Amino acid sequence: MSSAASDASMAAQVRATVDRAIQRNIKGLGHFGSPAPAVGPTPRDLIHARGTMQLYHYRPVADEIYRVPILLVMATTNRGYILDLAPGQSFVAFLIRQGYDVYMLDWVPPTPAESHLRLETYVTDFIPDCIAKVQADSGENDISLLGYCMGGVLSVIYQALHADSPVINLATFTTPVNFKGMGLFAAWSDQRWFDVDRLVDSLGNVPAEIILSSFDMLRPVSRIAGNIRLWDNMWNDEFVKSYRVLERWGNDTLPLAGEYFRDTTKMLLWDNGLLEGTMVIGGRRVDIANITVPFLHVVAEHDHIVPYEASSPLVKMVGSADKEEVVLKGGHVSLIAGANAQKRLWPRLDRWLQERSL
Amino acid sequence: MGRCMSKPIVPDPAEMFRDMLGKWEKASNEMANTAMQSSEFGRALHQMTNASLAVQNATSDAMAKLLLGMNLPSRADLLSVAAQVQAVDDRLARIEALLLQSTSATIATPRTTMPRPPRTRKPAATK
Repeated sequence: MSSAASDASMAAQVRATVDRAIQRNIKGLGHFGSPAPAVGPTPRDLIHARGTMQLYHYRPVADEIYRVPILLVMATTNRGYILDLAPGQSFVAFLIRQGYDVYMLDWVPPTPAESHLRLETYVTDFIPDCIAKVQADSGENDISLLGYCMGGVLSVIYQALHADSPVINLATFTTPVNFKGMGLFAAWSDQRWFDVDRLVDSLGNVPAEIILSSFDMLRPVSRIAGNIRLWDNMWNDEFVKSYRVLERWGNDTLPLAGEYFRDTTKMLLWDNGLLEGTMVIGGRRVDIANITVPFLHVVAEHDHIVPYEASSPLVKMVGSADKEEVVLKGGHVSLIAGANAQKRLWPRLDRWLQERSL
Repeated sequence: MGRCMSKPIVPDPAEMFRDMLGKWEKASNEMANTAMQSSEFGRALHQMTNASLAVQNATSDAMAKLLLGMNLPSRADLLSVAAQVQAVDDRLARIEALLLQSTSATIATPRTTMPRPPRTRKPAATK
């Protein structure tokens, strides 16, 4: 390289660095002064609500849609707008553009009067109730059930208990079944130290702050590193936009109904009841082998919340002849939302669903 | 010189910092995770939680007695009122839905009469 070219290149490098430093300061001020970013942009109607349970229908945009509607079941710890983050970053918008009729079972914070809700309520009351509402609203009997994280656990338990349900396709994302493989969550809920009865009896519902802290503690320095990265990329509007919507969602954790938390701790984390086949809901044993509908389980290669050890036995346990596990690059959240999800999970799921939605 | 054109002429300190930040984050998280996996950490965490719950329970008992003495409603009383208001609200919503169902005077177009696309879509390859 000639000396002149070298000087020009160095000058360009310095110019870019200075320009970004200026932009950081200008845009940073705007960022701190701006309101929380808007989320959940896809038009939808609340068609059924009962306490903590909310059922939404997203308005179709395609000229013709697939016969079988989709019911998304959101994790009980977080808001459903992770699946509808922002224009261009919405899993729901992708599905309706591809011609699916999409419903979502989402949650709002349970009130103190709902602390009695049990795991059983979610799988033998809320999910069947929403399925009936989707059937009535869509006029279709068959349904594809899609569950994310703990929403996947609820969907799996529901389907294992209702082998003759209207669900004809079941897909789950980052869904744990071996709770002894849940890493730090398993360690922190060790029966020798963790007095879940005392916690629930004292607090009623488990506050969102406890749930958020436990997620944060899985990667204790990542919040600090994330803020430094935000400052570094403050000049980049796209980065800031994505960061802020994901940060908003991450902080928007939901409290959990006390009895539901007690059940999940005892039945899943202590007894590992799903894997061991000892879990009993409403007097019936939950046997995952009872699931015989087409089944897809998508897991993330770098999932720090649900490690592969926790999710990998699921496909083997399901009784379906048509079943598949897909391991994709990404983490617990980036599997379903963000740029990687748009390239990996969304088209993969579309290919799996389309021929099964006729 | 053999130097690639796409590489910066001098090491970019910002890039070096980013690289260092990534390594620090990974190493610190791993170290903290190892420490938090231990039974000592689990025991200490729950001892702290139990102590905090004991303080919270004692405070809430004392507050309840104080409020009772001052003839003011306690948290339990307010929660009970909130539950009753919610029950009334739910009942009103059900009555409103029934009224809308039984009369044609609906505020918005009922969902059952909203135009829906036909459920005839086929995957692109099989159309």
